[in-house]
Amino acid sequence: MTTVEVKNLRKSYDDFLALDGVSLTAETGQLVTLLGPSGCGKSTTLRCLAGFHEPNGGDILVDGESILNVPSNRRKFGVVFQNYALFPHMTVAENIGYGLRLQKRSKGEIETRVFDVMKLVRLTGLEDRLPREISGGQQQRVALARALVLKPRLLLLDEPLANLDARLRDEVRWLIRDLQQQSGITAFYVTHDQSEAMAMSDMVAVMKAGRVAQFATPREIYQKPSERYVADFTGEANFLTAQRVQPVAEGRYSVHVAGADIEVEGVPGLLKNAAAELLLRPESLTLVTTGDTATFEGEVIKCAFLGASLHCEIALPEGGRLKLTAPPNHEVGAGDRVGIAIDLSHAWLMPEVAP
Amino acid sequence: MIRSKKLTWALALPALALIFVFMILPITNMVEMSFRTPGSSEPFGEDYTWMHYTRILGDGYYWGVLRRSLYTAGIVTLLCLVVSYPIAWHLSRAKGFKAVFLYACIASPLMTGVLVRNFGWMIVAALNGPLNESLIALGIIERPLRLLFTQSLVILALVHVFVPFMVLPINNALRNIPQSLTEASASMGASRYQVFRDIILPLSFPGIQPGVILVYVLAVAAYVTPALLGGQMVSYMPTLIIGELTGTFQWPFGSALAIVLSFSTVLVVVLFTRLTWKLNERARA
Amino acid sequence: MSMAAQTFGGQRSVNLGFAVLIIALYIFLLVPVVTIVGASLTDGLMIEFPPRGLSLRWYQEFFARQDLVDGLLMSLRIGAITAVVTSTVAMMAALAGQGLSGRLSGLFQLGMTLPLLVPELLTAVGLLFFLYKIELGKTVTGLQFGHILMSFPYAYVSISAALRQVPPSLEEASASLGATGWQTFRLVILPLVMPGLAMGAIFAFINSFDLYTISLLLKPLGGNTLPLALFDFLTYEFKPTAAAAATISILLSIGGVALVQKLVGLQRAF
Repeated sequence: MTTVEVKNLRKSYDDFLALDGVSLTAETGQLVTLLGPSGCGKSTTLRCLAGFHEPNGGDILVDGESILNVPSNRRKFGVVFQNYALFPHMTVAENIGYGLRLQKRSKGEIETRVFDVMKLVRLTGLEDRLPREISGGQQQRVALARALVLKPRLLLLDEPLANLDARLRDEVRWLIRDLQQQSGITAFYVTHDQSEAMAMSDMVAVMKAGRVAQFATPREIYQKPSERYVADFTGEANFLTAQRVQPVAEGRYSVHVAGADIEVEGVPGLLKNAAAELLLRPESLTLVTTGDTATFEGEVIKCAFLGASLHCEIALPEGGRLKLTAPPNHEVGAGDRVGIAIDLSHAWLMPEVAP
Repeated sequence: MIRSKKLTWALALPALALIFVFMILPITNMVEMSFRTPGSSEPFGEDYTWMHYTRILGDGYYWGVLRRSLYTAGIVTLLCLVVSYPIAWHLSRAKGFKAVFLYACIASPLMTGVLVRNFGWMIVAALNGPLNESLIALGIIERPLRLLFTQSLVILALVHVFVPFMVLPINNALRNIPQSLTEASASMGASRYQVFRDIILPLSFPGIQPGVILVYVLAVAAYVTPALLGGQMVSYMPTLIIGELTGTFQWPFGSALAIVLSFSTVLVVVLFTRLTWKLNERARA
Repeated sequence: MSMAAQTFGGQRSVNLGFAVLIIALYIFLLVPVVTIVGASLTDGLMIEFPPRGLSLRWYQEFFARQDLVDGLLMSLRIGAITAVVTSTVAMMAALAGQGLSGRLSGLFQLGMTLPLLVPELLTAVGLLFFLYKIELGKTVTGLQFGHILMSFPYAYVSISAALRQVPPSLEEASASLGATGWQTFRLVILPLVMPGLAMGAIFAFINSFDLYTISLLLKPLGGNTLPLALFDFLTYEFKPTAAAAATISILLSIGGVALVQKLVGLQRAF
């Protein structure tokens, strides 16, 4: 049972600040995802956790104790690498049993434990193959089994699905999540794929230029992002400039947007008349005939028929554009005037400049 | 490739001719030469005979020299490996300007003639040379040692000659080991020594094997170093062979000696390759 | 090193020991060269290191010795011809090698590097008889062929490595734009492999300049290369002139290495 607390972690290379005060926590059994584009510091954070990098400042507490002075080979963390890092000269069974061999376990114990974990990741029968003789998906599972067999205190996964094709990625993703939940291991997971992060995580840290932009549950990250960067990174998003911001209650505001006056939830603490934007996810917008149910009216600029749905882009007369998803049976085309209804409970007001 | 077959062969022709005419033919010719009878006024006679081989194989002296040559080359190769591995490791970690500087340090002996380097060792190992003087200064010895014209100096100089041939392939093999493998090993609890033993050493074997073979083959046949630094006291096969060819003009006998030496070398190399085949097979990723 | 130190932590003494070992090994590598250069600058009458006073008198002495200067000139001439011939032949062979595939390609590579893999002694002995047979024994032409043969692999390896860096699509693109094979070579391939070609020529030159065993066996009548002249000199007179001669050949090598670094970078060269 492991809790992790990353406190104000800093790391710089010669003239490049890789981590600029990263703080995170993971409760026992949680899977925490570090999400962000390349160069945001997510891998550096993971490598500091693993002990491959030494941070210049801050601390990492595991079960309340700092581990910065513990070398990586005594941290008892399992690491799964992006390229799997399987030892090419060892068979599958030797790869998985390597850590146990280092612990000087008996031959019988190694054999049973390797057998059990191979069954768990569905690799039975491949014991004597060399890594180069098995498929990418199988290699990935060997890497996972190799980390799990040691019953690590913490599991660290660095873009483990990046080298798999789309179909396998889905399969292995659920395998990882299942195994992690079954064994109750606390885990950190690095990815640049937002759907992976959403689907698997208990908590997501969206990272930006060496800092954590937002650390929250996947739902919150998606529906209540702290800034435009987070909203953009986690999915399709529409932004409309909000005027006459007026707090009405804690986290509730009345605003004037594209000619309409509405009341919405938003990032707490915005001041009266603050520069703000309204986030509207495409799925909270509905295409309606012009009339009283419509919040906005606009002109269709283009429409793409995708089979299961219709993707439309609509220009508002006051300026600004909205993307939305409509049912496929709607018959609209470029040039049509349409009305748009907003599910106001899923609109979200954010400051225009990141805090 | 959009080259026609005809053009390909036309382009290859001069090089193939060079290798064939000035290497394959002469070596074949040498095999033939080793069966010639000795000549009286000419370096070789008209008829063919086995006598040179029976003479060599029947004479304990030649067996002794052959054994010394093969054995010394083995020692040289082993020492060369011991010296080269840390250098190759260090070189494989270096980046930027440092790497360029280190490559220059390693390449400069390769680019300096064997004769020149051996001459350098003559100066170093002289009775009042820097080696003796520093050993005296350090209090390790009291009186200068006679180092010149000893077998140890020959071995030392040969190791020096062949270090680059060993360092470069091992360096390449080490550079091909992804850092994530050592990290993975460490994350599974391996100490620094265990990472080296279990991961780095086995995976660098594809560099060690060609290095060892190349150095051994070159060391067995090295002529200049024993000739210059070995003095008259100990004979090695190459000095013997050159002596037969340029001193006494016994071409057929010299050829037979060269062929016996080559054959034994090939035997040793084949044996080594077979013994280490399994190690290499696995590591080749 | 700092990475590894962090990874495993707290092994200062091991790191220190390794550093000392590495420094000792590099000293071992450089000692003979440094000693020779030092000894050549002595003002004294004996070859010794450290030198007794500093002077260039032994270089004057070197250039006053006809036998050594003749050796130098002969080595330079043979080296230059070797460089030109090997790089031309190797350029053609490398282009041919690129057109081969599979087993044939491997075999071709092996054949082209054969003079490097077979001990010099063996080749030299074979050539001695063969040149005698074709009536080139004891001639400068014969020796020249020997040097070309022995230096060829160096040129071939450098040039074919450079050629491998040129994507085949360039050649195809050039052809699709209407270039003939020769035009493609001259305008596209040659400029791209130029540094590798120059490097091959330099290596071939330096190798030829340093060859000893083969020169000894194929020694032409009345002529000596510098290494041969130096060996003879050392056998009869052990004077600092020899160190000066050796230093001149070291300087040539260092110049070559520096040129290679400037052209392609040493890391890619080896």
